[in-house]
Amino acid sequence: MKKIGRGVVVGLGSLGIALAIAVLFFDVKALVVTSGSMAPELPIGSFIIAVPVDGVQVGDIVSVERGSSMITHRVVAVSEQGLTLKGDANAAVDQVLYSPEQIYRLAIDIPFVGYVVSYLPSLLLFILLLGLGWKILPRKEVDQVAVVRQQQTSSIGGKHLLGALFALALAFGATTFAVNATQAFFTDTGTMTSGSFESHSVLAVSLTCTDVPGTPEYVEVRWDHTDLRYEYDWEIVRVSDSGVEKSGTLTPTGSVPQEVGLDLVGADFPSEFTDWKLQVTTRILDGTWESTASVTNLHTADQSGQSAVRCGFTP
Amino acid sequence: MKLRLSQVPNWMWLATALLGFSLVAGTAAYWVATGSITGNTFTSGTADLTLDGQLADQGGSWQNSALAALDLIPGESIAADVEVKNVGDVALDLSATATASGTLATGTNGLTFEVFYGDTAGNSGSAASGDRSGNCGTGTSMFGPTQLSGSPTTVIASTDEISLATDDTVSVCVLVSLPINAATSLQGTTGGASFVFSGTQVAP
Repeated sequence: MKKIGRGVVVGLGSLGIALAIAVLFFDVKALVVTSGSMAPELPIGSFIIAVPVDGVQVGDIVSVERGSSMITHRVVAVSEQGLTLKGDANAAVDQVLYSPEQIYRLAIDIPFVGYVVSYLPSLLLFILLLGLGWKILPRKEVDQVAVVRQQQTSSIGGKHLLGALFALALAFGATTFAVNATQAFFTDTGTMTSGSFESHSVLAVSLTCTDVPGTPEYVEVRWDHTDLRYEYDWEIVRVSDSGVEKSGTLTPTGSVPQEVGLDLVGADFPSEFTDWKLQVTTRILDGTWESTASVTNLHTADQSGQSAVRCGFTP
Repeated sequence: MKLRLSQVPNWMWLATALLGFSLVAGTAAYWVATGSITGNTFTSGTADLTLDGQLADQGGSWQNSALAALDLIPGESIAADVEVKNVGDVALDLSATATASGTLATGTNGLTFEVFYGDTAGNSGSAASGDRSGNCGTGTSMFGPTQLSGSPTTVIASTDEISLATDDTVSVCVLVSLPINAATSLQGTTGGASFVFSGTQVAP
């Protein structure tokens, strides 16, 4: 029975040493899962060992560094930008992409052993004190005890028990200091959608042209100004060659709606009698958004030696 | 000479233990620096964010009706708040991504978005006079003003270190603007954005 006990503690000691060597010299990660977003695969308190790998696949459970901590989550996507991870118990993926460098893939997981490992420092101290106490017992008494024991047993004695204790201490020590914590972080997400953003559409105006009798005759071109944000660019265009004879901008003031417009007289046209178009474009004040042009036809004619302007093309 | 394990004397175990200690102690500082385990670091609980009191429990979507505007013309802007609260029982780091949708947001010189935290939204002007103007007070700008794309863009990074203890609330303000040089082809179009706020448990 004592042989079995000694074998166990020596075995644990050897494992502890092997683990320490693996962690120190082979970049293996020995970790304790301290939160539950990888449940049920990795419940809180799991002891895991993760090994460095060059590449991972979707579905692998990996440990990565996040700031000063380690995170152990599952790979859900691999892209050139990095790895997307997600805790099995989380509704959403992690909001950061992880570099594919320094990735450790889960190799071994043992549920709940991490709880024990996490309390090893105090156990270790206890055992070391116990061993120290054993050693500082009065020499004579120890020798007497040893003599008696040696008489009673052939090979299993106090020194072996002490050795076993130290082996156990070594196992605890090596394991405790080699193991780090890893979090399977909890996350929650909430999506806020905006309402609708809708842009204005600049409206073309409807022009009305009215002949005004007189000498010479002229025309009134009118339209409804319905939006305080509008101003109007106008052009008088010669029909024969599309040349712009005159242009301007009308910026109404006052409230809306109101009727606005232009009175066009002979002086607004060159001394030639031909067909014209008045084009009015609605535009956002001081902006670039504009409507399509509204058009009304005009012509100029000789009226007793004066230039008359009338609606419509030359009859 | 053959040394059997059972013959290993106590002093050798002790020496080995000390050696092991010395060996790992060199890394202990590292582990401590990176958060070595103690007996009380196990964390159970839930992460739970709400947005303006909505979306208790995991996930979910909610429309912020204040983050909207009709009849926009170039040069106008709108600001709206969202109160992000940690109603779970673990501390959270806040991060967020945003994705644009619709021609008005994704078209040439379309809507731009700016994200602030720490102050609330203010708006002035009217649609009728075309002078609507939003602001996010003295909030700290976390993102933008930038046009978003159809793919998620980080607007609050986890490295921004906005942490929410349990029951903490932070005011996030979004300022949406239609640039003065918005393409005339954007007239009469619609657009919007969705924001995914994430709370990730702070490392114990």
